[in-house]
Amino acid sequence: MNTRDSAVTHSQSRELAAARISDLYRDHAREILGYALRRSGDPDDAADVVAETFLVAWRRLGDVPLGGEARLWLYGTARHVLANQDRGARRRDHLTERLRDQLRQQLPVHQAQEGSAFLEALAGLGEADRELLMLIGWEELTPTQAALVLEISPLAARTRLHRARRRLRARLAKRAPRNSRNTEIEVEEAR
Amino acid sequence: MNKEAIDRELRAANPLAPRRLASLDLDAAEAALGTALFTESAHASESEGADLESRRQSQRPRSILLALAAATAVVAAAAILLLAGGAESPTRAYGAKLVRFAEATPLLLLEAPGWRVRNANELKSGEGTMEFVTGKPVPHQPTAVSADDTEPGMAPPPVRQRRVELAWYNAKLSKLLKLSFNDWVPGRKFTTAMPALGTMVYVDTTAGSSRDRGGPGDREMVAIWREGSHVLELRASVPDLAAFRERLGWLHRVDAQTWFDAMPAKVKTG
Repeated sequence: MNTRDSAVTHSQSRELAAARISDLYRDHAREILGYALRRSGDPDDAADVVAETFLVAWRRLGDVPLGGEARLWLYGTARHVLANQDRGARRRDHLTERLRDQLRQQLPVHQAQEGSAFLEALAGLGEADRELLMLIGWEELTPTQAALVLEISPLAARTRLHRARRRLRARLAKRAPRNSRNTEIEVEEAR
Repeated sequence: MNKEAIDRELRAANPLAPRRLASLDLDAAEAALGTALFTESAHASESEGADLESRRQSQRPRSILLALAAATAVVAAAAILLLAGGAESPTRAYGAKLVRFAEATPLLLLEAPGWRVRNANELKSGEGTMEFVTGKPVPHQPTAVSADDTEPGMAPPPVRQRRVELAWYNAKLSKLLKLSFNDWVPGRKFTTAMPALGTMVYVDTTAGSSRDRGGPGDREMVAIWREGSHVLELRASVPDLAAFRERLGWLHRVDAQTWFDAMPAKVKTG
């Protein structure tokens, strides 16, 4: 054991780390970009979130889970990066310029989504409910995977998902014209 | 609007559908960003790497557990190196990760003929889940409950009953009991308590949250108890309480060597 330990030099450790971060980036950069774009819609923000997320992963490579859970860890990190209000103060413009340009060329601004009753109802939910629904509906995660992203138990995720759907339904019902079906939903929510 | 309609609208409201995301011509820009990121980071990592090396060399096994776990990790790594036939496999680095994971688990295994560990995940330090199965691989089960209290896509009971999930958390026992037994369905209480693993285990025999589970011969049950610094939760679909009690009885504390040996290859190697 000691012989093998000492055989792993500093240089080799760095090579292993570099190989791992490269693999992570190759496998998941697009998914993290999608996650960021869906939440901000701003190419500058999205490119910055990708850069910052993978820099965090690089610095904390030992914390990145193995196998398929790595993607979920990256989503969780991207979520924290997005929530960081100081991000604008330390943009990585010099790194992300090319990606930002490409995004601007290929993606229209998401104006078409504005005014959507569904999105407005979604936006009216608490952040925890909204994020859970988006992780499952947009990132196509299972509730258990979403629980890993949100750092809650799978049980709590299931509970929260059930309630989030009910709250969303209630908000949509309030926006829709009153009819017998909506009344029925409101009665159900009130129980 | 039922659950399916909400999910459908949610997917339709996705501002960037997966297919659209995949079709974006960004490969070159992404590659350029990756190169820029890791070139910039490589400089910073020079000093960080030296610190890491220093820490690694100064670390010596602090306990019998760590010594056992580290030895096992190296054995596993060596075996995989031999199988892979290459000295550049990153398995050596993953071994240390697995050791750390093992240290933070309660070192419990479900030991019964034909049962095996299918997966082990670390949620965060000191918290994680393990999945035990028997027979053919058990497909992932949907856990979302629709508005009419059904779970679309649910596998039949004989399939679900070949799987047991064990989770451990850094939480107060009372908090997990409240979350598991009272939070979702108002007024739900654990329905029984029984001794297991030298302590009192609280069991909810009606944990199934939908119409699709909870019928005769098909109960989802949850046991919750404290184990050292962890609060544990064992969840299984079973025909009846006797079967659940039997599964609890299969749960044993093991040493690190046994725990490592039971891990599937994907957990050992990442």
